[in-house]
Amino acid sequence: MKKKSIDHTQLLLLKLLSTEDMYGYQIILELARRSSNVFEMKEGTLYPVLHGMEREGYVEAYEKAAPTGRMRKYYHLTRAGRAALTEEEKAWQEYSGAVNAVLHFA
Amino acid sequence: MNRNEYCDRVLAQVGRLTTDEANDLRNELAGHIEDHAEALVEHGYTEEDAAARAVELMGDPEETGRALREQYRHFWLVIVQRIAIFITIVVCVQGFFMLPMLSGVYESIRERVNPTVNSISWEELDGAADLHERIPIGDDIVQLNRIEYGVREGERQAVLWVSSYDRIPGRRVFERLIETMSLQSERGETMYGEDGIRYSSCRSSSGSLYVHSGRHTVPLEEGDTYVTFVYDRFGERIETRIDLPEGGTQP
Repeated sequence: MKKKSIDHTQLLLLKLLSTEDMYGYQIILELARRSSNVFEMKEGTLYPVLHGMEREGYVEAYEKAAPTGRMRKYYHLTRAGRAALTEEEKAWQEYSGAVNAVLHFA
Repeated sequence: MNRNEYCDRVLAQVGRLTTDEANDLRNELAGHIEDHAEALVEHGYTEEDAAARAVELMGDPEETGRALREQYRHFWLVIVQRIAIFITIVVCVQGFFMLPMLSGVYESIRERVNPTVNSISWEELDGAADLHERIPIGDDIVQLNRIEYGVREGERQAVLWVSSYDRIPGRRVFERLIETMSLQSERGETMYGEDGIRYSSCRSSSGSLYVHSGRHTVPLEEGDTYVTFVYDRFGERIETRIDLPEGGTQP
């Protein structure tokens, strides 16, 4: 069950990064904003997922200075990441469609 | 728990990381906490409360650390990869420097099996013979390859082909030895310069001499039966008598 939730986090992150490159805290903010605060994760747990995606080659990290001068690590979705997003999005649609079909079965 | 403690506790769980990886991870986590704290200050938190709250929102450092460890299992792979790259570079650099030596090895062995004898033209050839004689001098070997005699350019002459190389292929021959070698007639005559000695040597690009081959010429008179090959063995003058062969033809 835990594994499942991590997979979904990955799908959400892939989707977020498909619009723009983001740094860790920005991802958290954006996730909360888009889900109307339904998805609020323990913020530290974001990083194992991000680093795992980096290892898989779905995202690439680069550093850019924040307005305060501190370096921030930005994540950029790679072509492999885009392909993974398409796959996972499709799988999710099928899954949620099936769940809805069961729930609405009259 | 403050920001540094949080980072320490995460890193403690992750286990082995390269220095760069550990620094990157620490900077990223600390940066996140700082970002969040700054946002909280804007919402009216005191700096102290904001810092504490931002760390709290990160969650359990041990849990995050353990999850990160799963992503950094490849630590040893990274180390092995770096060692492999290092070894490859060392081998390539060494190989590059060994190339001239390898050609020296080849030339040295070839000289033993198939000595360099550049044929010359005679107006009248009175005798010729392959000698196959090896004279060890210290670490080097002087090899007498062939003698021919007759009339060239109107003069009676004997020509001797000599080569020298180190006992061990790929090591250099002692150049001073070559300078002391000469060919003398029965009367002690010697020809120097271009007419007397022609060299053709295997010298590497770095200037090391691996094989030396030369052609020595000496004037003869009617009735001479031998010539003398003279060289220097550690300061001692050594003479080797070479009888002029009867008959024989050019190769």
